[in-house]
Formats: sequence, structure tokens, C-alpha cells
Amino acid sequence: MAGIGFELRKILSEKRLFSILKAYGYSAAVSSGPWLISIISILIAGFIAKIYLKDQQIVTQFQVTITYLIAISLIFTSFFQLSFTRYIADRIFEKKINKILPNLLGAIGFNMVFGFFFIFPFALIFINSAGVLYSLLFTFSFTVLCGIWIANVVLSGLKNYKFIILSFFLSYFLILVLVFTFGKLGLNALLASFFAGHAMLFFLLAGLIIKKYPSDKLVEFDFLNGKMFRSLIFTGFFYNAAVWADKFIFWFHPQTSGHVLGFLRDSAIYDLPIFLAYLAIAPGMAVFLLRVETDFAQKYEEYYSAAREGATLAHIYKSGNEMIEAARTALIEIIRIQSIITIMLIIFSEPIFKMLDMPLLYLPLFYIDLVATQLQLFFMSLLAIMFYLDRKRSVFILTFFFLVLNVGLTFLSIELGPYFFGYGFALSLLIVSTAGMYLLNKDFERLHYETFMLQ
Amino acid sequence: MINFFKKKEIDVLIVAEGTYPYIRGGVSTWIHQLITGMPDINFGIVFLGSKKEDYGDIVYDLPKNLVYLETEYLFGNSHRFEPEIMNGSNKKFEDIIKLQNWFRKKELSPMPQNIKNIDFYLKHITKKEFLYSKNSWDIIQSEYLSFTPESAFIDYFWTVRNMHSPIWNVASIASKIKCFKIVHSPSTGYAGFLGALLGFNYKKPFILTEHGIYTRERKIDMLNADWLIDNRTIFQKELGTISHIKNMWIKFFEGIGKISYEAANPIISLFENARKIQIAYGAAPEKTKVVPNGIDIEKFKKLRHLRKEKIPKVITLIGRVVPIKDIKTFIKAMRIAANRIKDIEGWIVGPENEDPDYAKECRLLVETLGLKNHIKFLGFQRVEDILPKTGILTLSSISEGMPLVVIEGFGAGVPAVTTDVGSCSQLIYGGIDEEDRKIGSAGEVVPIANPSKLAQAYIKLFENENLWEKCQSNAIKRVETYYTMEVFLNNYKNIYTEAIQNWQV
Repeated sequence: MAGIGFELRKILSEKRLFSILKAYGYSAAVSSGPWLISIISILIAGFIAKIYLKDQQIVTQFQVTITYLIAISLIFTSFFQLSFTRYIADRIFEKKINKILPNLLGAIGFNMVFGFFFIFPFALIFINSAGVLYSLLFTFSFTVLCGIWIANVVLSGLKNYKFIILSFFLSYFLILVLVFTFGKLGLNALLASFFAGHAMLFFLLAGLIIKKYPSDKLVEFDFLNGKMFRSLIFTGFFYNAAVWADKFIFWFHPQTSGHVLGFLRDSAIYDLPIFLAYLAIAPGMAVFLLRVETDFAQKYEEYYSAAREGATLAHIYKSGNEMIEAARTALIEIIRIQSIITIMLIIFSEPIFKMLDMPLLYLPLFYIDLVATQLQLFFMSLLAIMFYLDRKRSVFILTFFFLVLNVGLTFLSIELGPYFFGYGFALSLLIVSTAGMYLLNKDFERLHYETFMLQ
Repeated sequence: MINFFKKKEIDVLIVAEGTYPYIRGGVSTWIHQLITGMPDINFGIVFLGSKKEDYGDIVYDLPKNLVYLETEYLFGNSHRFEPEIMNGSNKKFEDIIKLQNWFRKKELSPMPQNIKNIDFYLKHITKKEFLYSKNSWDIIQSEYLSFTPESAFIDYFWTVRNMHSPIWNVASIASKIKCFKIVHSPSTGYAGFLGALLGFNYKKPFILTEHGIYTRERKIDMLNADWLIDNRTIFQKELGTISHIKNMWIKFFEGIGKISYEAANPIISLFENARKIQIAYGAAPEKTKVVPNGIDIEKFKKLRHLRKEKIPKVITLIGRVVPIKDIKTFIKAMRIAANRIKDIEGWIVGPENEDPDYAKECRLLVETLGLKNHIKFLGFQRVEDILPKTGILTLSSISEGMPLVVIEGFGAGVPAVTTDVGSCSQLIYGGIDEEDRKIGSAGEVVPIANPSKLAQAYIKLFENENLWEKCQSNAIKRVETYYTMEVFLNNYKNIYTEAIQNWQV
């Protein structure tokens, strides 16, 4: 008799795969890459200029220009960073490796072209006081940075760490040499050096990517066909905008800012401590990369393959617990290491400031900034784990509140007076980190349930 | 989806699971005969398929008195919705546990009232709650841990989901059907479950006719299913035990079988043995009844005149090329028979598209055994063209209900050699009553999966023309007495009339 029974075979073999696994590997790009690059650029550029140039005003102009270039290019490409990373991760998961190169080049081109047309009028109109050449260099540097941020999406997956580090080293060495040789010629020469170095970096990275991802096509715009997650587009923007929100507010608030060049302003009181504080999270960053991207990622992979490839429930429970344990260890260790650093820096900050010849007036702000940047690192780690678990909704909400809180509380801190500067940023991070921990805890409690039932 | 509704009252609504009008076969033919045989009764069909892509177009000329046709799929994507986190309620899930305990019980006990009620599925415990709620997850986990903690959880999980989801789909299909007088299902399974729900909820008579025994056929499917990976190690496997997942399917079909038996009256089978099995599976004896199939005898009478003087050395197997028909045993038997009778031919008449892998294996076997000149795969053919050229009609199935082709063969004067399944021995040796037995044998019945016995029977009939002729005349006598369309249709007319009368009282 021809019954349905005969069809059962097809039905079971249809076992839907875990969509969650697709997310694998798109957390690294959250921020660690661009973040390191930008902090290093800003500080190195500043110090180099300071050592070789006598004119303090030009140094400030150069440093502020670079800060703006990085901030605006990061925010501009933020719509793409996460969603496009996910797009690439999905293609890797589907084993459609030949889709990667053309779409990556497509996305780089897309961002650079739009970046160029977005920034060019801005540079011409708002920063015209420095001259047309400056505006052009500003535009080119911005465009090349946009390209680098998008290329960064696949860097962590390439595993060619030596070549990548060498590229960065060579590019920054080039900047150093150029600044040393032509720096005396003024702001435009400094900016040209910055551009040349980053252009070289961009081409080195692009070359590596083209070599590593074979494809029969060069450029494609498949990623624009609705294959990127809308929530990630906004999450990327919220996060980047939030990270820079307090800085921009301080740069443009009349009480805390000063004019530098054209439209560009800075905040003499706010900027130095916070960028120094960012330097201090380098050790925590290393722990983050090691614990989250290595230990946790491995446990994560084990858990989902156990679930997918027919392990017993007992084994699935065990792998799940190991994964949760790995996440816990990562978060605790980041807090622990970074707290030691923070405490040490607080204790030794006076001698350090004296040694660097910086006014002690900055100290209270520096303390709170140390706490804030530590929290930012912690928050970043939480987000990374959530990305692995594919909690797009939670991450969307958290980053949205990070932006709203940072804007609101930063304004409030300015109203409350200099003693509260920096507290807005720190408090907003404290709130979203706590909320993030709460959500992650909930997710882990429901881990197996969500893994199996919600598909 | 409702294909058409001719705005006439539906007298009899037939629930066809994976058969009429999309797939040809015994049950489909039976349904078609029933409808065309009673032009003054309006029929409706609800077709329950697995997934849309598994079926092609309608393959029958639909009769005028088929006034309603609805096509539904049980496993398709149409019933899916966005997952969401749900807690579910403990109270409701206590009901589920109670139900499970009832299903597991070996002895008969009164059926819980709630499973008879459509609202139980649509309002009380919704499909969404089954799929996504935390409570449901807890049950799945604890069941797994207590019954089969060593098996692949992912397989267990999807088995539970795939098995039960159609229940809700059936309930929602049931809630949309309203105007009919009688519901009639030619099987238990999901179709029987739909029939039962319709019967319970609209207080209409539900008639069940079982061609094979659905529950048993699913059991055979499961035991043969190599697609369910049994990942127990050699140490965990006791000889002869089957994996829990296979067992779950078997138990599930037994469970929904019980519901059909509870709801249906009468419970009809095609032959006495089948009736006994139904009782063993939980059908109340007083509700059971035997109604054999019938054929249009005039049509087959004519075929007898087309036969040649000489008995054709052709053995024909009419049936779909699928494992349950055990075509491979037939092929092996042909090898043995061909060694003795050089000009013997075996024809396999039936579609090969249902299980392409199996069909391929069969063709390969023919080649391996060097039978290319002896065996022909003819695909689907009109039986009227085939029977006059046939010397022996055969079936090597491991399971059958009442195979219509054997009766048709008898009508056309072709003796049969079959395996001992379903009603075959009743057809060939007689068994309806004493008179029937006196007629004598119309061929031979052999054990299943035994190529040499099968071959011996072929050889015996072909080498002894007197015996063949005796079998032929017995076959003709038996079919004209017991298995005509008139007898068949009269039986069902009476059953329908009775059902409506009883219901109106």
C-alpha cells in the first residue's frame, strides 16, 4: 500500500542544520583589529611628531586630524563591519570560498567609493582653512582607511600572522621615515606620510587576501542582495558610534573644547587621559584574544559539533558546560588581569605623569578613564561571546543602549562639572556590561533548550 | 488547499493518505472503483501527502460524483512559524504525560477524552507549544534519558518532532472540514486519525477499511529502514533488539491506530486473517467486518477469449518496484526457473519511481544473474493488455492486503503463485466459507523470501498442463462466486446506508 510511511526517510534526512554554527568566527572583527590599529596610529603619530617637530600647534593639528580620520572612517564603515563579517562567515560555512574574494573586493570598493564622495565635500567645505592639498590628503586618507577596515574583516581568518604583522610594521616604519625626512615641511607633509603608510598597508593586505582566496571572479555585489542581517548593520553602527560618542561630545561642547583646524576641534582636558587609558588595556586585549578567540571558540566548536553530529545528551551537556566554563574563565581572567593593571597604574600614576611631563591635573580623569576602558574591554568580550552564540537581538539592544547612555550620561557629566568628566562614559559601560552579563547568564541557563528547540 | 468543491452535499468523505488521486496502486484503484461504482452518491476526497514535492499531477480521470477534493501535506513547510522562547504551562504538560502513559499501556483502557477533541490540539496544547516551549523540551530530555540515553540525541530529537508535528497539522485540517455525512478512511495512520477526529468532533459516522494492516506495514518499513542509523555499539546491542527510535515509530503508529479503532464503526478488513490482526491490535471484535474487494467481471471475462491455445511461458509480477514487494526474490526465483525452462519470461509491471534506488538495485540484480533475456521491466501497463499474455501471475511480497491483481488475474483466467501474505492463501485455496474451499486451488502459495519454493511452483505449473488448466477453472469459478464488483458495491452501499440510519437515530 502506498502510504506516507515510505516518505519518512526523506523527512528525517532533512534534519535542519544549526543556523547558529553559521555565526562561527565573526566575533574577532568586532573591534579588536581596528581598535589596536587606531590607538597605535594616533599615539605613534603624536609621539613621532612631538619628537621631531618644534611647532606644538602643528603636532596637535596632525594628531587631531588623524583622530578624526579614524573616528569618522570607523563610524562610516560600521554599517558594514559586522554584517559583512557575518556574510563572509556564512559563505565560509557554506564552503562557498570562491564567493569571498569578489564580494570582499566589492565591499571594499563600495565603501571606498562612497567614502570618497561622502568625505570629499566635507573636507573641502569644513576644513578649507588648511588648503586644498590638505583637503585632498584628508579625503584620500579617509578612503584608504575605509578600505582597511573592511579588509580587516577577513584578516583574523587568514592565519598569516607573520605577514600581517610585518605589513603593519613596514607601513608604520614607512610613516616614521617619511615624518622624519619631510616632517619639517609642515602639516601636509605629515598627513601625506600618514596616507602613504596606510596606502602601503592597504595594498599589502589586499595582495595577501587576493592570494589567499582564489576565485574566478574579481568583483561581485552578492552581499547587497539582502544576505546581510539588518540587525547587525545597526549593531555595528551603534557600537562604533557609542565608542566615539563621548569623545565627540567633549570635542564640540563649548565648555570643554577648543578650535584646532577648520571644523575640527579637540578637548584639551579630555583627550590625553582617555587615549593613555586605552593604551593600558593592551594586556587585557591579549587575554581576550587568547581566552575568547582561542579557548572559548574551541569549546564552542566542540559543543555544536557534539549537538550536530549525533552525540548523546550526556555528552552534549558536558560539552555545553565546558563551553560555559570557558566563557566564565575568559571573562574572569580579563577582569582579573586588567584590574591588576588598573590598580598598578593608579598607584604609580603620579611618578609616571611626572616622568612624561604631564600635568597632575589630569589624574582624577585618568583614573576613571582607566576603569572605563577596562569596562569597555569587558563589554567587548561579552559581545564577542554573544556573537558566537548568535544572539543578534541581545547584542543589538545592548549596543543601542550603550549609544543612548553614553550620549546622555556624557552630557550630564559635563553639566555636573569637571570632577564628573569621564564618569558618563564609565557609567554607561558599567550599565551595559551588567545588563550583558545578565543576558548572557540567561542564555547560558537556556543553552541546550535554545540550541535545539528554537529552530 | 481545496482543489475544487462542486457545492453539492458530500455524502462520503474519503481520507486518502498518500494514494488517490496522485499515486496509482491497490488502494487508489479501490477508491476509484468505489466512487465510480456508486454514481448516485456524492464523494469527497481529502488527500494527505507527505510533502508537496513528493507528488506529481492527478493520475486518475476524476468521476463526476467526486464533488470535493482537498490536497494537504503533513510534513511541508506550510505549517512552520518563527521560533520563540516560550515557557509553557505545567498543568498542560501533565495532560501530555497522562496521554503518553495511556499510549504506552499494553492492555486496553478507556481512551482519555481530550485527545478526541480538536480544540485540545488547536487551543489547549498548540503546535507552537509543542515545538518551542520549555516544558516540551523538558519532556523530550527526560524521555530520552530514561529510554535511550546512549543514542544520538539529534536523531531522537528530530524523530520526536517529525513524528508528532503532523498530529497538529491533521487537527488543523480537521477543523476546516465541516459538511459531510460519513467519513471513510482506507487506512489507520494519519488518515485514520483525521477520520477519527472528524467523527468525534462533528458526531458523524467514521468507517475504517484497512487494506493492509497499516501498523504492521509501518513496522516492516521500520525494520527494513537502513536510513535510521543504529549507532549502538556491538556491546550495547542485544541480538534481535531494535533501536529505540525505530521502536518509537512503531509505537506511534500503534498509538494512532488505537485512536482510529476507537472512533471507527464498522472496522472493515478484506479477509479473515486481517480481521484477527485488527482485533489483536485493539479493535473491538463486534465492530469488525470482512468485505472482500471485487472486480468488474465482464471486463475480464472478455480477456479469456484473447488467450492463445498454448499456455504462454510468461510469469507476470504486477506491482510497484519497492522493497515491500520483494522484487529481488522474484528475480532470484526466475534464475532457478530459467535453468529448467529455457523460454520462460518474467515481466515486472509497475512504476519504478517510488524508490529509484531499489529499482536500480533490481535491474542490477537482473544483470548480475544474467537474466537480461528472461526478465523485462515494463513499467506501468494496462492489466488488460498484460493478462492475456500471462501464464502465471505472481506476487513475491512480504506484505499484502487483498491484492486486486490476483483477483483480476483469476477473472482473466490466470492462475497465481504468491507468497503467504495477506489474503493470498484465502484467494488461492479458498477460505471465505466451506463452499469456497471445495472449489480447490487456483495456483500455489509459498513462504516469503524463498526463491527456490517460488521457482518450484512456477515449474510445477508450467510442466503440468492439466494442473494448470484445473487451477484456471478453479480461479474463474472462485472469482465469479465471491469477488465481483456487484457483491463489493452492494456491501458498501449497505454499510453507508446503515451508517447514516444509525447516526440519524
